Amino acid sequence: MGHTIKRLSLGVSLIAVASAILLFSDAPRNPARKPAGSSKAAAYEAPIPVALMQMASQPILDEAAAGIIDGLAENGYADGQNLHLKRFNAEGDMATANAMAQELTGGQYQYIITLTTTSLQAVANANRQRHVPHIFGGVSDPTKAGVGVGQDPLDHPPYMVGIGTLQPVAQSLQMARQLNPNLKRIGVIWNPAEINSEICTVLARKACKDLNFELIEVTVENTAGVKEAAASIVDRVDTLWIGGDVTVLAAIDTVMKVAQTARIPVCTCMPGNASKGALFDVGANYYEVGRSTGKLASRVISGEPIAKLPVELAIPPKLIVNTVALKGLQEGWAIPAEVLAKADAYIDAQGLHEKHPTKSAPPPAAKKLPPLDRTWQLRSLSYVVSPDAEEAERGLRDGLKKAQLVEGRDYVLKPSNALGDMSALNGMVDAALADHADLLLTVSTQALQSCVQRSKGTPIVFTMVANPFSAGVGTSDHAHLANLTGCYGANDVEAMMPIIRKLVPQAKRVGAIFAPAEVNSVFNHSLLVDAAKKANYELLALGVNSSSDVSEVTQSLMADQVDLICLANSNLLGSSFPTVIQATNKAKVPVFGFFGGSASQGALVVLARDYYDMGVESGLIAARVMRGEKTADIPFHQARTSKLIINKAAAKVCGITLSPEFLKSADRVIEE
Amino acid sequence: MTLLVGSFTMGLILSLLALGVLISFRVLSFRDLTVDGSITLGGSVAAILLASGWNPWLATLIAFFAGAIAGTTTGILATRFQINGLLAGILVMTGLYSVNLRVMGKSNLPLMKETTLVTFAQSFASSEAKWSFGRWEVSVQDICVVVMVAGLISSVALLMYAFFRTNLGLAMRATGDNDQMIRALGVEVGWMMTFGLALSNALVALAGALLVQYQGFADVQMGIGMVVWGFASVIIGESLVGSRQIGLLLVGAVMGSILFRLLVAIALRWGLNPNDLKLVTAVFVFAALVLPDAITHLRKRMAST
Repeated sequence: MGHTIKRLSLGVSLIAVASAILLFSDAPRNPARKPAGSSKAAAYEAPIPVALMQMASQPILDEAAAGIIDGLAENGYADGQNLHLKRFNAEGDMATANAMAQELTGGQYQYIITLTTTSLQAVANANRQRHVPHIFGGVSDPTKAGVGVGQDPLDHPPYMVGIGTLQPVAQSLQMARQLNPNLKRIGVIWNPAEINSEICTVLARKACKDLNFELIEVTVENTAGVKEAAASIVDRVDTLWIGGDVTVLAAIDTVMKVAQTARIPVCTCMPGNASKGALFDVGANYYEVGRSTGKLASRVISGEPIAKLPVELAIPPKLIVNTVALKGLQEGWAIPAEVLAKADAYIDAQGLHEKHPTKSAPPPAAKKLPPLDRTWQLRSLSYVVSPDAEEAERGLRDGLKKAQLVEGRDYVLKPSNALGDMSALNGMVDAALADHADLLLTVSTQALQSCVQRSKGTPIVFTMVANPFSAGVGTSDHAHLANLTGCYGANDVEAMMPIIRKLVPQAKRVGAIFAPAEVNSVFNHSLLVDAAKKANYELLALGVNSSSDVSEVTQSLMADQVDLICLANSNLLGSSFPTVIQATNKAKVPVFGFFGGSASQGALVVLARDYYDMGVESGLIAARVMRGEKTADIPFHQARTSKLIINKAAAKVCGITLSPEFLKSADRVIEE
Repeated sequence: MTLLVGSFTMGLILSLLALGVLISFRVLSFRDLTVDGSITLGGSVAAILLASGWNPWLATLIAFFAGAIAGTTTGILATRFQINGLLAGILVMTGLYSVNLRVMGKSNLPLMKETTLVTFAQSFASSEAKWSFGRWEVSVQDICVVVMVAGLISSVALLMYAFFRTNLGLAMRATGDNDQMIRALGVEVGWMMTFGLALSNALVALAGALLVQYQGFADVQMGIGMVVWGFASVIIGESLVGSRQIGLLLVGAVMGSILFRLLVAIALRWGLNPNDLKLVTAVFVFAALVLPDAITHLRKRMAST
C-alpha cells in the first residue's frame, strides 16, 4: 500500500501544482461580471475585455475576423484603446475549442464574439448557465445550430445575438438559368463535413427541383480531392456550381481549370470568385459580414439590450458577372443586357468595374485646405540605406507637401535609419514612441513589422512594402489592422503582358517559377497566374523549395519548350537568378522579371516599382490621417507605376529586336 | 475556478481515450490509429440516439458497443488478413469518416435541448447554486458533472483492473508481451488481439459519447488528432508512476490525461498567441517523451542518497 501511494505521489502533486497555478492565474481577474447593459460612460473608463474566437485559420475566416475588428473600430470601439480584444483560434481542434469556450465564459470577458457554427455551438454550450453576452457571425443558418435561435428574428436567448449569412443559393441558380435558358444539369462539389456547405447543398437540391434542374453531386474530403472530383463530373454537367464550401473554395483555381477544359462555366454564391474566373458570383462578402457582426457587437457593447436586437438572416448579396469567362464556353451561354445592367459589378478585359463604388475616392487636394490645428510629430523609420529607400523618403515629404501641409507649421518630421540592424530598428521604434510621436511613417517591410509589434495604438503609414498581407498586417486592401494603412506595390504583372506580346508576338507558353514556401512569392505568383490567363497565355508554373532545385526546374521548363520565362518576385529566385539565366541563355529563351537588380544580371525586361511615387502616395495617405481620418477606414493603396528597364545584351542573346520607340519608353537601358 | 473544473472534467472524459490507447499501445503493443475514427463514432452514435430521444445511459452503452465493432474490424484486418497494424488502423479510421457522416446524417448534430448524462448530473443542483471558496466561485452544477464523470471513470478503471486479473485478462497481457509463449499455452493470439482492440476502441467510443454530451454537439471532425493526445497521456502517465504494474498504469493514464488538459488550460489562461497553441501542445508531448528518463534518473539518485 505504501509503495503504491509513493508511486502515485508524483502525479498527484504535479496535478495539485498545475491546478494551483491555474487557480492562481484565474484569481486576480475574477471579479463579478458587469451586467450586459452597463452604462456606456462606465465602459469607457477601462478597456472592455472582449474575446473573439474562430474555429480554424482559413482565409475567409481571417477576413471575417478582420471585418469584425474594423466594424468595432468604425463604431467607436478600437482594440487597444477602449477595447481589449483577445483573439482565440482552436486551429480545428474540438477539445481545444471546448477548453476555450470554458475559458471565454469563465468571467474575465465581458463579451464574446464567435465565428463559424462550431465555435458558436461550443461557446453556447459552455454559456448555458453563465449568460455572458455573446455575438456570433459567419454562421450560415443559426436556427439549425441548435443553440436556441428560432425562426423569428427576436426569438433567441436574451444573451445571444448574431448574424446568419444564408448564401443566396436559389438566387444564384436562377441567375444561371438566365445566362443559359437551356441549362439542365448542374454539378456541385461539396464537403459533407462542413455544416455550412451542407446547408447550401440542401438549399440547392430544393432550388434545382423547383427550377427543374438535375443536380449531380460529388463529395470531397479535403482540397487534395477537389481536382479528381471536378474531373469526374464535368463531362456530365452543363455548369459547376459551388456553394459556401471552404474546402472547395480553397481549391477553386483547380475547379476553374478543369471546367475550362470541359468548356463549362463555374458559378458560385460566394463572393470573390468572379475575379478568379467564375462566370458570376452572388453573395455577401465575408469581410462585410464580419463588419456587420462588429457593428452589431458595438451596439451590444454600447448597452443596447440583446433581447431587443434581431438575429439578422441576410446580408444584401452582390452580383458580379465576368464577361471574360464567357470566352471558350459551350454554346448557349450569354450574358443578357438586363443581367449586366442589374449586376453590381462586372469584369471585362480591362478588369473589374464597380457600378456603385462603396468607398469614396480620396478627397481631391485641389481646393485650398486649412492648416492643421496642431503640429504633428512625425517619425519616419527606415531599415537600410539604399537608393530605393531614399527615393521613398523623398516621396513621403513631397506627398505631404502635395497635401498642402507645411513642415514646421503642420508637422515636424524626424527621419531615422537603422542601417540594417534589426535590434536598432526596435530601439528606434521605442524611442519614437517615448518621444510622443503622433504618427509613424515606415519605409520597408521590416520597419513596418517592428512598428506593428511595438506601437500600441499609434497610427502607422507604411511605404515601400511589396506585400502587406504576407507581412501580416491585413488580409485585403480593406481588411487590415486598425491602426495602420499605407501604400504597397506588388509585381506589376498586368503591365508586363502587353510588353511580352510586343517583344515575343508568337509566344504562347509562358514558364514561371515560384517558391511555394514564401508567402510573398505565392502572392506575386498568383497575380501572374491571373494576368497570364487574362492575356490568354498558357502558363507552365513550377515550384522550387531550395536553391539546389532551381537549375533542374528551369531546365525542365526549357524541355517543355516554353517561349519565355516570367518570374514573379521571390527571395529564393532573387538570390538564385543567375542559375535561371544560365539555363535560359542556353535555350535562348528571354526572361521577364520584376526585381530591379535582375536586369543587370541578364533579364530582358524588368518592370520595377517606382518607390518615389509610392512614397508620394503614402505621404498623401499620411496627410489624410492627420486631417482626421481613421487609419482603419483608409484602404491600402496599391502603387500603379513601375520603372521599365531593358537589357540590350539579353535581347541579343535571345535574338529579339528592340524597336527604337520601345527603347525610348524605357526608364533605363542596359547597354551591351 | 470554472476553468479548473472544466479542464478536470475534460481530462477525465479524455482519460477514457487514454485508457483505450493504453490497452492497444501498452498491453497489446499495437499502434492503433482507429482511435481518431472511433471517438467520433462513439460521439455520433450517442448523439443520434440522444437526438431521437433515447435514454442517455442506453445511448452511451450503445456507443460503447459501436466502438467495439470498429475495434473488431481493425483486429480482423490486422490478424486475419495480415494487414500491417498501422495500415489496418488507418483503413478503418478513413472508412469511419464516411460511417460517421452516415450515422449522423449530416456533419454536425447539436444536443442543446436533449436529456443527456450531463443534464442528468446537473439536475441534482439548481442552475443558480454556487459554492465559493474565498475569492473563487464555482457553479454546483459543474461540480455535479465532474463528480459524475469521475465516478464513471473510476468504475471503468476498477472494472479494467479486475478484468486484467482474470485469466482472460492475463492472457491478453501476455499476448502483447510474448505471443510465442501464449500461443504455446494454447491461446489463439489473433482472437485475443481482436478482442483487445475491440475493448480499446469501445473505451475510446465511450470517451466520444461522453464528450459530445459534455460539449453539447457532435461534429464529424471532432476526432482529428485525438490519438496523439491519447498517446501523450499514456506516456505522461507512465513517467508519473514509473512502473509497469497494471493498476498503476491505469491510474497513471488517468492522471496523465488530467495533467495534460491542465497544462493546455494554463497555456490558454496565460494568453498565448493563438497560432502558437499547437506548438505548445507539441512541446508538452515532447516533454512527456523525455520526462520518463529524466524522472527514472532522478528516482535512482534519490534512492542512492
